[in-house]
Amino acid sequence: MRTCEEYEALISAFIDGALDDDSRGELMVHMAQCPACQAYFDDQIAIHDALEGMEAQAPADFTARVMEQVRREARQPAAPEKAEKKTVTFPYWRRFAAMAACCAVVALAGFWAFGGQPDTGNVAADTAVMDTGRSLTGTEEADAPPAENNASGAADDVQADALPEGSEDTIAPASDEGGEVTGGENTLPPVVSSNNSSPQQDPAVGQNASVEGEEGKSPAMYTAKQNAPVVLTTDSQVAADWVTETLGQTWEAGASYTLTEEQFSQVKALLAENGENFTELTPENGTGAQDSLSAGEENGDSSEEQAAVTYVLQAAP
Amino acid sequence: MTEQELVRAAAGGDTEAFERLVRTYENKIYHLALRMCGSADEAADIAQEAFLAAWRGLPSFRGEAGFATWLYRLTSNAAIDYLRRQKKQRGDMSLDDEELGLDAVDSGPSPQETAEGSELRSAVAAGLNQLSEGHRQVLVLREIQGLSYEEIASVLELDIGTVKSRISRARSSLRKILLENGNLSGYLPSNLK
Repeated sequence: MRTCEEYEALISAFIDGALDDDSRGELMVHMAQCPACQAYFDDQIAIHDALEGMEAQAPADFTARVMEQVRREARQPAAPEKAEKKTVTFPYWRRFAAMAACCAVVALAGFWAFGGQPDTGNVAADTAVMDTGRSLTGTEEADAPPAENNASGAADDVQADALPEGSEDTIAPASDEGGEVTGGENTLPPVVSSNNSSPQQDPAVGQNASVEGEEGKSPAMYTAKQNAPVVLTTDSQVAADWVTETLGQTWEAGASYTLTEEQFSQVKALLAENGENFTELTPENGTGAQDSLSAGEENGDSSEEQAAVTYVLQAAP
Repeated sequence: MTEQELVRAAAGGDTEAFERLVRTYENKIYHLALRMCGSADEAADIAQEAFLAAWRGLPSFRGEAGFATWLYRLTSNAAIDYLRRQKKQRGDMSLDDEELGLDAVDSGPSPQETAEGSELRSAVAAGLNQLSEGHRQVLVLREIQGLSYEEIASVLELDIGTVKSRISRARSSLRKILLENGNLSGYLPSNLK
């Protein structure tokens, strides 16, 4: 014996023409004995008729508006909209920078554990300068392999540079001053120096970090070309589901997920197919590949090496 | 040119082919967006966003679900994004729980609906806007867009059983709203009282 609620499900299926003969007969018999279900049936038919007759017309100029935009994009593949999409606001990079600082701190701890003594004398001498206005140092640092620094014994110092609150640090196109990293007025003052702090220090999210080497002997200095990341940033639920299902990780705002090239392509195609918004920052469209850290140049460690590209999926904060 | 040929041409960058697709689907997509978000102005923006997403995504569109189904999905996603942005701006609701029924669109029937529709039709349009996002979605796709259970399952990436039961619950919720608003004179079953 079905309940009235179960008969409501049958009525719904009946309206959709999805009820088999047996169930339909059973429903009719029940409604003949149950005024509540009969009333429910009558109301649902009335609602169905009302919904069926509904029709809305798109505005008269709708197609013209859509096509104007489409043609603009078709003419200019790198149209302003797309350029805008490539723009990444700095706070994302600050997170990378903070992660890099964490890694470097761990490396430093390892260095200490194996008997190394950091030189604390030249804290700022070879500071890898961050120019938040035009460089991708956040990326560079995020991918600077701390183990490499550690192995060389020259990852002597880690600094986390705090950005001013409310700073509008948007990464500018590569054409902006060639993306060259320079010191000077754009250099942010270091506010945290790990050689005076605990190796367990966890740089707060929202800070920049830079990896420094000791002046004159900085084999650990790296260039931006090394591990220049390609970063896909999105707040899409599609990406969240993909991360959960494919990586088995929890999607959290602001979190980053390192992907293989294949996975990166897969996610990107998935987002495009579902019309989801995302931004992609590559070394080519940003400034990362051209940039080199000043300290690296000083040591003749120019950007000749082949880039080892890493792929990162970032959950927008 | 068949729709499939138009889709293929548009995927290759043929804007004329894409324009024909837009003209074919503009009313359906606009109507879907309107029912999803409840605002005529926003519906036009959402529909436009969906078509632009289609244009950008066509090169990677594999055609497994059919163009119309894919377009409905893009529209549905665009509408959900819009509703989430609204909620985020209000900052007071869960972004995930569509079953809470707290995310109803606060909008009545448009003047056009009121003028040209019957009283019940206007009331039903208003009632739709009071449904939860999930209930409104399935009911609009089923009743207004005329999609089959299978197509709705594909658009919303749900299994068919979920689609069937959600449609049934959506109908039940809509009737309850109409009864409470005095738009139906039917007998209210005991389990809904």
